[in-house]
Amino acid sequence: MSDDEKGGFISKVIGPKKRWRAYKARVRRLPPDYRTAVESIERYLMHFVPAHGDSAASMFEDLADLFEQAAADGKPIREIVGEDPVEFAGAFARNYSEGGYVPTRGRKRLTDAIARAEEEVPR
Amino acid sequence: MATVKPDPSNGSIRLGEVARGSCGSSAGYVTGTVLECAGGSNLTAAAPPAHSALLREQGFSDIAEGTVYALLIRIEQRGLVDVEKVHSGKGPPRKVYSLNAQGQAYLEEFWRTWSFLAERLEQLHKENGSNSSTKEASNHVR
Repeated sequence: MSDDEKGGFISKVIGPKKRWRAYKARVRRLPPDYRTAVESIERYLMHFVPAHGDSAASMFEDLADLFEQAAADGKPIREIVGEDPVEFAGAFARNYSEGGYVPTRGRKRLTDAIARAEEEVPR
Repeated sequence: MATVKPDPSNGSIRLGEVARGSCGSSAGYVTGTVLECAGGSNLTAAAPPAHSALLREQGFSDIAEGTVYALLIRIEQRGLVDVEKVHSGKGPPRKVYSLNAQGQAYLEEFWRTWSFLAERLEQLHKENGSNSSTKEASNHVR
């Protein structure tokens, strides 16, 4: 990954730019409500400090895998993230990060965003 | 939890591991459960209908599928399972997990820790039970 070597601040947070762009392209192809959900989780995950750039990239790719599969199976968003999306996102982030701090407002934002995604008109 | 202290002679047992879960809040026992499932049959990751349904059947109905997915990624990162990617008709390729030797060892450790914790809690419960019945007897003179 030639992108790895350039690693500035942004690359530390999102990983190599090439992988980030590929991830974003996958998210754009998701049905709108799944996309809303993924983007709100993505925003939440930014609060966590990735173990390294590579783990940040894997984190977003695994997130895309999860929601692509869910969309393919027609599985409701709520079944994926559960009653408490903050708990899910925390367990998910722990696999890739050294830790992080999420302000109360960040947790509320995720909870609200998932509720909104759920109400979005189905495809 | 201050009253429950692991026996120092049992150095390998860490209550925190079970209580907090090495994989996240409340998830220690789920990791064990998932590994136990992986031992019995193969698991599929990425929106894993098979094991989520399995866990639900076992009474773990409040665990979100995404959380199970996160745990699967965790046990994969820790090298407790072997992974095989299988193409599926729809969506991304699915990962099929099977327990390997390292996972087997972890699972055995998990059961040791679990039985230890269960035993201690049971003991605490019994002690409390006898305490509260004494209290009851003294409070309400029958």
